[in-house]
Amino acid sequence: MNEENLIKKAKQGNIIAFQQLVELHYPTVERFAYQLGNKHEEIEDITQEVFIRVYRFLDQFTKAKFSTWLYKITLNVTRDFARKRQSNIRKVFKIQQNFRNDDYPEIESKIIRDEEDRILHLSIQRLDEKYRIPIVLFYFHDKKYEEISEIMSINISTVKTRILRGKTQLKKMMEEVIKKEGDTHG
Amino acid sequence: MDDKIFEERMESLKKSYEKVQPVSSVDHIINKVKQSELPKRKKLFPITYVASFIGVLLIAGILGTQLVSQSNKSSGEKSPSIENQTVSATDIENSINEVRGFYERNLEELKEKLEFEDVEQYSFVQEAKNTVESFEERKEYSSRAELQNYTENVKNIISLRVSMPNEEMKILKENAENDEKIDETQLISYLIKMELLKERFNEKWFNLRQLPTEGNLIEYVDKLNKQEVENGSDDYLNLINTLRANGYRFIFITEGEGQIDLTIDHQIILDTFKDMLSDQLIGYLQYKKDVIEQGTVLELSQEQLAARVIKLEGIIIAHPNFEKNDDLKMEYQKHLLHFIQYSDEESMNNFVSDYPQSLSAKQVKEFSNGNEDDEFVSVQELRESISPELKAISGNNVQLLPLTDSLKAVYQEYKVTRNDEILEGPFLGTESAIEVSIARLYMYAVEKKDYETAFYLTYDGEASERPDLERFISEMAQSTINYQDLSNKVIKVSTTYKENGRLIEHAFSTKDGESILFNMKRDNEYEKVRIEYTPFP
Repeated sequence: MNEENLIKKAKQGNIIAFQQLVELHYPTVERFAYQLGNKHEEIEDITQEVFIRVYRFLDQFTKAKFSTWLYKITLNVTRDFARKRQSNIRKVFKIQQNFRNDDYPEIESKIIRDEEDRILHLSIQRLDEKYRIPIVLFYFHDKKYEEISEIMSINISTVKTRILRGKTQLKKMMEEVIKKEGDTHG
Repeated sequence: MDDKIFEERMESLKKSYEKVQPVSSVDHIINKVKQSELPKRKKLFPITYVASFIGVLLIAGILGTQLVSQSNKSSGEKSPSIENQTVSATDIENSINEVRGFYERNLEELKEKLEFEDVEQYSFVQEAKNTVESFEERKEYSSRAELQNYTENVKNIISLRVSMPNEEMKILKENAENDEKIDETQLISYLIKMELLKERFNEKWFNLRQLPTEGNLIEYVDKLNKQEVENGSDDYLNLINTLRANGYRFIFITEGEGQIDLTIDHQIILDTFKDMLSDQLIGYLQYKKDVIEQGTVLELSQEQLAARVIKLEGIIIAHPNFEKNDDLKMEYQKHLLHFIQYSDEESMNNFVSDYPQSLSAKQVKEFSNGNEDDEFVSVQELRESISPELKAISGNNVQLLPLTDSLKAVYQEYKVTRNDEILEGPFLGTESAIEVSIARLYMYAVEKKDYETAFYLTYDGEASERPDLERFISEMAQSTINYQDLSNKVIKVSTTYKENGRLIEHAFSTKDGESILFNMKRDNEYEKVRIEYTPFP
């Protein structure tokens, strides 16, 4: 059954169809949530919450592309989880604000085994949210500018600018790491 | 680092991400979904059970009590419907978080789209903010359904109000299609949002426009409206598209020495909602559209002016409670006064005989008859003699907060330099008069708790009672003055000059019919206009 039919059936309350939708998409949701800077131990809860919301609001889904909607929901759930963590601090969530640099890399080493990749992953987490999200979507989810603009609700030219700026910042961070390593090793 | 290495590193990380093992289980997710599932239909049986047992209770006393207890037990074993599920403090907190998060995300998006930090100062955003705050204050709900309904209602208000005009229009359109009718209160709120944002868009237009130096400007306006302009910077071309997408259109103003101006495209609303609109709203929108097509007072012949006066009178009198009536009354006033001022006796007599039953004819007749005794009649006197049913609230439309970009730049420069010269204006792109603009700067400073800048914006000339800076700051910190609240309510300002122009009295009229006085003083020597200090109560 193709995705469109699955959505149609799931909208009518068919839980098997919904289950198949979950099977298709949950790895992407998990990966995206992780790349956004959520802690690994929270990924399961976040993924569950994303699909709870998908199920609850499925009848309101009319957009052409289901995955775009899913990315949007994942972004919102991520932000809400951050809000929960920060309890009463009523500010717009900037993912990774409470980033704990001390113990985080250690946990990461179990998830991303290659050290160079791990360092790059941590550098991406240090980017401001507005650069991190388009960079993640562009490089790791093969999203085009148009879809990123839809997911983030910003215009295409802003997407382009942010990817460019994010890339520049990221390169700079990576160069600093290389330089640091060079200094340490001689 | 060159691009090739960067791309390779990103590709390598992408592969690493793909190797990360998923942690969720589909079954687990589905179970959670089922647990959280809200019943789609109201289950009637628990209620009918209870109702019938109450009947038994009345008749059979003790026996009835036993049955009720059984019924409670049995309904407790079944999963209760959302209507009678109890609401815990955590449920409420979760909903509050959800709503607050939704509001803040919408706000951030709107800031991005308008490229403007002070978006929250717009009264339409304030409307949503106040709704969110009221929601957060409520701590008791009789059922989860009630909490859920309230949550959804607040989120709907946020979606409508904390959004760009095109987004709000899309929701209104969808609602109208679903309900087969349009909520006109919402449509009028949408129009007010368009009016409030016009100052900002106008400023952008003023700064970015790249009009051709040769050729026909009227044809160029047509191209602008059809989005067919090809020459210009990306920013300029993007702005044209944004303005059109958000329901504005371009007009050629002869009165403005050939300027191209911005206005709301009322035709879009007329076309979109067609048969769903009330007569009063059609009258209003049609009038606004006619002005664009036929021109304003200066472009009309005396006959056309007379016809418009009568048409306006008809719409106003037929719908005395219409929310946008004051707009029409201002237009009426402008047209009637122009007609009287520039008509000869014959035109006035014709008017009186053509429309004998109208209130306008009565006024024209009074003026025509009285003219022989009074050689000069001031415009003010004429305005005051307009029939109460047709008289507009005096003053000009005004918007206090937020500041325009140019006013904000003045504020920031003044905050740093205290250079009085920059307050002399004019402030390009800002629609308010210079005195009102300075009042806006002061209000903005107070709202931002920048009491030091507010201090320097207050009058310190002859007979000033302004205290020293320290005391001023301490008084302001304790003050309950809320200029945001004033800005949310204010619609007009009427300014009078007293004491040979030294005292400037602004009377701000609010939607509720209140009038709030705000005084400013001019220093004779330097002609500085500043806010009059009022001693702290």
